[in-house]
Amino acid sequence: MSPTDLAVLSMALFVIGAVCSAVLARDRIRCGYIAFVFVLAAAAAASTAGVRVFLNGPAADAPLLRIADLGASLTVHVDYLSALFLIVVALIATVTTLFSIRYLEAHPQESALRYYPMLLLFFGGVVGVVCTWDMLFFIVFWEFMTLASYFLVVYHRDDAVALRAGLKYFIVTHVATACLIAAVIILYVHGGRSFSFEAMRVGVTNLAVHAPGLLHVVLGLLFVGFATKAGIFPFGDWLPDAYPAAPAPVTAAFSGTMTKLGIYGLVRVFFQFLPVYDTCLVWGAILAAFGTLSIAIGTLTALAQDDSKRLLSFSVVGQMGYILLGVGLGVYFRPLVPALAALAVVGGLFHMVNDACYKSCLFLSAGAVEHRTGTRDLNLIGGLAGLMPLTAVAAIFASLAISGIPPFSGFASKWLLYHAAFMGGKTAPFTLVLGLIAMFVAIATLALFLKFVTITFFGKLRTPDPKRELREVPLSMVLPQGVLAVLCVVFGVAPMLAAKPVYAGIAGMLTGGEIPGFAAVFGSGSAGLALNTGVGIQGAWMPWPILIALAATAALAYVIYRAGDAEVLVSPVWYCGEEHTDEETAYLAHSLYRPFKDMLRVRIGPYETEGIYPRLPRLRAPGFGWLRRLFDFDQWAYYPFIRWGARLVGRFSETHSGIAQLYLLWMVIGTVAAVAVLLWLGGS
Amino acid sequence: MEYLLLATIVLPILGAVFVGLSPGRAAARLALFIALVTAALAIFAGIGSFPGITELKVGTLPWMAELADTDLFGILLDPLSLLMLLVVAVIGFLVVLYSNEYISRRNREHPHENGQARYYFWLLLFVGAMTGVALSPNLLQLFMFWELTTICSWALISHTHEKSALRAGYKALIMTHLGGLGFLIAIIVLYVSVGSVEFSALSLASPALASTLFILFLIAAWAKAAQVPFYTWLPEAMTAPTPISCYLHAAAMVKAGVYLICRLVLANGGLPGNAALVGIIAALVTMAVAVFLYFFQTDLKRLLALSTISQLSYIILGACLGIFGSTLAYKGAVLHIVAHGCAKGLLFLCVGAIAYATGCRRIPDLRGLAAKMPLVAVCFVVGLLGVVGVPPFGTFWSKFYIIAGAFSLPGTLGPLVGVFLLVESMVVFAWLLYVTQRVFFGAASEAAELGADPPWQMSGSLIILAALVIAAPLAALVVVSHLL
Repeated sequence: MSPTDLAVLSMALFVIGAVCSAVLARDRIRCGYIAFVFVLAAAAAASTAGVRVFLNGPAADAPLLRIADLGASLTVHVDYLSALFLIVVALIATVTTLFSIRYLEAHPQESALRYYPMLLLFFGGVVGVVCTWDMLFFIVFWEFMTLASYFLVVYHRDDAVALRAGLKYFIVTHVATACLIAAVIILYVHGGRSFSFEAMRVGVTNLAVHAPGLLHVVLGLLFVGFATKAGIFPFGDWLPDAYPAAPAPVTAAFSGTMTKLGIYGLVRVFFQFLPVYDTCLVWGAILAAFGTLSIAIGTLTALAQDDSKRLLSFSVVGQMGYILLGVGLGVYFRPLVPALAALAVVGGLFHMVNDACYKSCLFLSAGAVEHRTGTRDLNLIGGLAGLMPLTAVAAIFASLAISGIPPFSGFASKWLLYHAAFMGGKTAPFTLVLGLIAMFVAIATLALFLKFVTITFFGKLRTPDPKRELREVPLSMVLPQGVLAVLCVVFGVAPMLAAKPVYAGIAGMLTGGEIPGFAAVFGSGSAGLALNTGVGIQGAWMPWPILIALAATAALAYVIYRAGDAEVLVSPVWYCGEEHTDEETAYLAHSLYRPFKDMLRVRIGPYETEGIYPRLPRLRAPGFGWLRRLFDFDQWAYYPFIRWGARLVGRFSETHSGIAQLYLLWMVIGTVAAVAVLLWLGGS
Repeated sequence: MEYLLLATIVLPILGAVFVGLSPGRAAARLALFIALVTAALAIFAGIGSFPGITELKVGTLPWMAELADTDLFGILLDPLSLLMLLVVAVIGFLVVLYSNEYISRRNREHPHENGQARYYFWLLLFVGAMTGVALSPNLLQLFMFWELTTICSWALISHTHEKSALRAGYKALIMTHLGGLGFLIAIIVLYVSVGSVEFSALSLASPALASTLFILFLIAAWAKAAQVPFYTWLPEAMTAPTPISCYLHAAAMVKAGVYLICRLVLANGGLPGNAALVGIIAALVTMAVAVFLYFFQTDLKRLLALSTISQLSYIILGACLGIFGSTLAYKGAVLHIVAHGCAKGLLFLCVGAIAYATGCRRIPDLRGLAAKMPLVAVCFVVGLLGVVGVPPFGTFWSKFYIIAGAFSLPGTLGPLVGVFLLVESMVVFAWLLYVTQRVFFGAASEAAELGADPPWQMSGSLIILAALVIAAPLAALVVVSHLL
């Protein structure tokens, strides 16, 4: 089977699986396993398609369905970029569905009918989005995915907060889709009345030559449309509300697949549709600037959060900012230094792959903790490491990866990003500034995840409900976290494992030779990355020596610790003689970074930001009474007219009084009038 | 095949007479049978003659023999009338099926069973009148069936004989009939000036006359399709039994108005642009007014009526864009007849099921219905997605055609219209989604406690329509590609 067939098969399996799980939804565990089997098969098909493309190159595509009137055809085509996303999607789909099976036990009041079918349709939509080669059907799959995800967000349908979040999510992303539709139709009109990706490229080229102003409008609309889905500040305002509202595995699936598709769209637009023009400079800078803004605002706001999933959600905003920064710098350097462009965009997409792993892992860990303790409030929990050791280890691995600690995966990708920004500073100094901001905010990321990990897993045991039995989550919930945590390490110690496919994904879209080959930029060694943007090797990341050195120093520290055999003193804290319970003196999540949080908060009258995240003030809609009266044609036009007519007729009917003499009088008057008229006519 | 098509007009009208003479429940059963046969005939004969054009001359009236060279009355089936015919016949059948349960004492909103013979008589006559509109070969015959639908809707809106219902029926009759005078005047002037009542006669007239006549036809269509400034009768007509409202909105009456415009644009190439501009501006104003009024509407059914008003504007707008040369927008308009018909029909039937179970239609009183009536909730959401145009549901395709067609026009008018439509779609989507969440999700309110999924006649109609919301526009896509 060709990759195209496999992709179609994968979609079909998701849809069939959705139907089967809907039919068998009564028994939620069985339904979960059936859904998982279908997801596993579909994921196998999708990842096989992806791997085949990397091994044998993309296959020819075949349109499955044509709409001749519109010039649209449902064309499934798997190129290198699609292959990359297919593999990521397959991985995330498998682990999150597996995690869901036991997770749903905690919500017996909600039907599985509204969960698995929607989840599978959602994944089907995601696969459709990354495999289609036609903008109309891209939008169809895109909205279909949004639709399915909306139902997952409002899964807890009695929860007013979830409902409000779902409403906001669907409306905001629907408006974003409208932006996409407008942009795509303009390109369709200027690109020869077709929706194929080739026609989109032609449309962009034509606009660049004949109407550069309109091209900026189109790119702006596409940027807003995709950035909204990617959760980029300020467009992704829905994200911190909708993510915590959804069940944890769904949130993990969103952060691993759907949010990343916003980046997929941007990469398609700015690398495939947009040829190398000066336009790249403008939009590259805009993308990079929004990316940096997102990094700063998302991460710093996350510091102020006490809800584990809300904290992670704001950190999604920050991490998406890093990815967008990479993509933006890549676009910016396309006309200037192709090697730097390759470095930046590979850094960005590599970070995306890593983010899919560690962020999904963190959401699953938060979900596992919630599953056992029944709360997401970090103020109520603590010291769970002893009871949930495996979850703790996975969360720690993922936290280290997201904070960019070598040798975990986040370090490798962030390192590429910083390199691109700093080396680009020679050509364009503003990238240096962006790089510095990104680097310093990364420290806040570390602080953020120190908070998450230490509060949740270390310190004294705290639990909201002491009667609840606390223990490790079952294997089907540990395994998904474990797989993702292992990947956080694998991509850290073997960065070329991810960098090469990412590079192929980008190079496959560009016209031959626009960027130098992989070996020329990233070095040909298999042990690490040696960066060269055309002026000799400027930096190298060799994980193994570092890893060995780290391991050796850690071992040494342990040996010294054991050899010293220092006594650990446990003594009660002295509160000037007063007696305090543990409850009163515990250092809670809320207290962490307090001065920092106060510094960042902005208050203007009743208006207050959350962290440094602006909250929209609540608006009261005006009543528009006068407009309503104006539009009520009945009241001021028809009814008065009818009443006037009725009065007129009423007047007339008064002449029929029933008095014979009066009728006689009318007859006389009538006769006189008739005679007068006749005389007048005859006389003239 | 031609005679089978003819039977889709004759059968329901003759059947109506028999039904009118039958007692009580027998009338309901007989009407169901006749509606089923009509729908089956329409599907069989309609699809059998696709994609060709079928014509049949039946005869004329002695005193009208001079009006045309050939027989005046007959039938004409082309892809446009095929779509209209199928919508009318299939939704007609579903409405009759639904009414079989709805008109009963179990109904908490209208708990009585009286006047069933009368009800089904008018309903079948309505179906016959609408198939007549769909299959009319010229303006004169179209006008006759057109006025017949007005009478049927008058009788059906007033069916309960409550004071408000009588008043609403009377208002509908007067307003649509007055608008219909524009139609009559246009036919007479057309016949006097060019000597023909064919659909294509309009292009024979001088441009100035043609635009005047087109505007007269537009006035008739506006009144019939409840557009500004005539829209006020439609929300008031919501006092009708819900299956009637459903038929009125999804397939009959208001659709006759937009069908006339689609028909005229299809038959006449090169209509004057200024008349089309009038149609476009009126459509945009109607959309703006209707969407504005959404926010103040607390009756679920009336909210749907306002939605119909704005959706019909899409059809008139698409047809008028077709005059400017955008075949894509025109095809979108025709597609919208089908897509909107199924989706809006489904929404009305759902509201009917809610009122049937709870006796309540007020949005603030309804909460958390999804737990009590899951089937209705699913169907309502499907209908909602169909109406607002979320792919892959119903109106996404037709709206996309119209918007893409608008953008394809040279000059600034088209793109401006396209942007307006996108914005309108977003606002409508947001508000309807909000209302849906309020009504179906959350904890159940007092009224919602009574909720339960309806019996099979009603559930069956809901399920079939829900399937059609997804499937019908895709099938119609094939048909519209044979237009023009």
